[in-house]
Amino acid sequence: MPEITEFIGDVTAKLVTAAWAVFLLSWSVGWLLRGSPLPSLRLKRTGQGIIEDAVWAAFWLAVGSSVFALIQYLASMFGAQPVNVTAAP
Amino acid sequence: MAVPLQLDLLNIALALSVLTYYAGVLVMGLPVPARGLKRVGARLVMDSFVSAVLIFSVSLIFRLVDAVLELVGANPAEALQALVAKLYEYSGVYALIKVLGSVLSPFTLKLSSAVASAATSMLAILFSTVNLLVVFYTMVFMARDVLVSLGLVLYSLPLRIGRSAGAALIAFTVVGSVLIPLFPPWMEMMSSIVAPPGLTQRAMEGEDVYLALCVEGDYGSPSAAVIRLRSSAGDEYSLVTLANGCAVVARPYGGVRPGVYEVDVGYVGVKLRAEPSVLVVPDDLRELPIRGVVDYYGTIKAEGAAFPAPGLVVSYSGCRLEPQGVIRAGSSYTLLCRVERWPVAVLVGHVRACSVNVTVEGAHDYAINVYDDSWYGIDVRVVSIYIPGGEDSLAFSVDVEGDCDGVQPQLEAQAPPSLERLLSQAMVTDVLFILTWYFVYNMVGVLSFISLLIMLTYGLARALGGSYVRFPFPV
Repeated sequence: MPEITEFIGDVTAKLVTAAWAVFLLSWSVGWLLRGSPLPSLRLKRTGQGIIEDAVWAAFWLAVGSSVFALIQYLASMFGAQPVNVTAAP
Repeated sequence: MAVPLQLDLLNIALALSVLTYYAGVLVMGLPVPARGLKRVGARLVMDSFVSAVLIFSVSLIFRLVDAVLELVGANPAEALQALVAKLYEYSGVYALIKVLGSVLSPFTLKLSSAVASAATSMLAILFSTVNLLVVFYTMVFMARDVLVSLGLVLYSLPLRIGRSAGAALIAFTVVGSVLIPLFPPWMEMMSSIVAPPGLTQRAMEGEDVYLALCVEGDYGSPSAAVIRLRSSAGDEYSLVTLANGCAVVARPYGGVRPGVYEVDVGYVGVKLRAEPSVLVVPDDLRELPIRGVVDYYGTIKAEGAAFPAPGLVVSYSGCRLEPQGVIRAGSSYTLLCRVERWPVAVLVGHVRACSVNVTVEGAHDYAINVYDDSWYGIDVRVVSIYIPGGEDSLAFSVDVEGDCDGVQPQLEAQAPPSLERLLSQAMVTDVLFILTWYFVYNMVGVLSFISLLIMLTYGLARALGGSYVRFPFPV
């Protein structure tokens, strides 16, 4: 059983790395489109949208483990006993 | 305290929830300007939130379930007892129907065989349904932590792969652990709804006293015994025990008049020495303890009798049954008996359709006499064993040969005159009436209970597995 948990944890760690890489990529692609010397407002707006999404994604990535801690705290506030589970990466 | 397996499963569920969360964030951050894709990411994130809330609230769910059980005053252990008692009751009624079939006269047989075949199919349905409830009970109360954790693992799988299955498992466990302990009060409620109006009314209006008499042996109760009451005024009543050794109404239908009665108890084979041999039915007793039908409840102790199987009775004198009582191995029964005084006499009675083979251990010398008899009109074979002396403890092995449960009608046998006294047309009508009420009550009660269980499980599973929660942030 712990192997399964470890395996899922490994996959999650890789996923987090990939997500940060995707954020950097989105950030760059977004600015590239926004700063491109083409007189197309639509293109610039798309770039702006990608940048905004990337920023939100980075925000959720950064607060990830805090979100789960918050949920655990809220549940315990309503009387749930603490569950001794592995912490989120 | 969480068991290790449950903890492992919860770890996996949380790991999956975290995985789902980051997968969702990754999809949200993709540099692709497609709204549909972003929504998939938001849904993944929200799913992981919901499953995380459930994972951290596992103990809360169980505390809530226990609180509800306490609130309605249901006791899971009593519920299991009630369920198992129901199974025994159905076996008893099955035996009764078979035994009745073997003693009815050809005149009444045509009617009763149709009723008996319908009754046995209903019993099969009832038996399997209640058995299913026992299995559910065992699943829910032996492994509810593991079941809910497993449900959460399925629930937490990314992309809602196992969401419905997980929700169903969680819903089943939660609904089952709340509802199954409510089985006894549910059946009680049903009995008050489906009570036979005629019978209740007659019990309320009549001057006669209705009584419930239960026969108890040293080891268990007979499923089909006959109790006969005779008063000095010449009133005579015959009662056939229905289930668990109890008879709930007396013939004739007017009920038993208050008075003093001599008690005569017999099983299918042997006339039993009954205690009390005199029964006083009081005339001032007007409370209705058993579902408004019965006025007086009494227990008749059949001394020195053991009822190892439907259709088989062992009656003994001179010795006392050991605490471990009757040991069963297949269709073989061993009765362990400690000698109190010599000689020891043993009677093994059974309906003539099945044959038994009796051996005695612990005695060097004994005599066996087999004879056919009729007791209250029922054709029986009695094996009488006389043991003048031997060791302090005796063991009687009774091997049942042939199908004693499925007693066949003995049509070729000449019905003795006393048969009509026991099972006249009126008596059969009484029995059929009570059986009909019994089946209506049980079918309605048990089937409505299992339907409620299924409906509530389905509803909760739908509620848990539905996608009502939306992502509250911009995507």
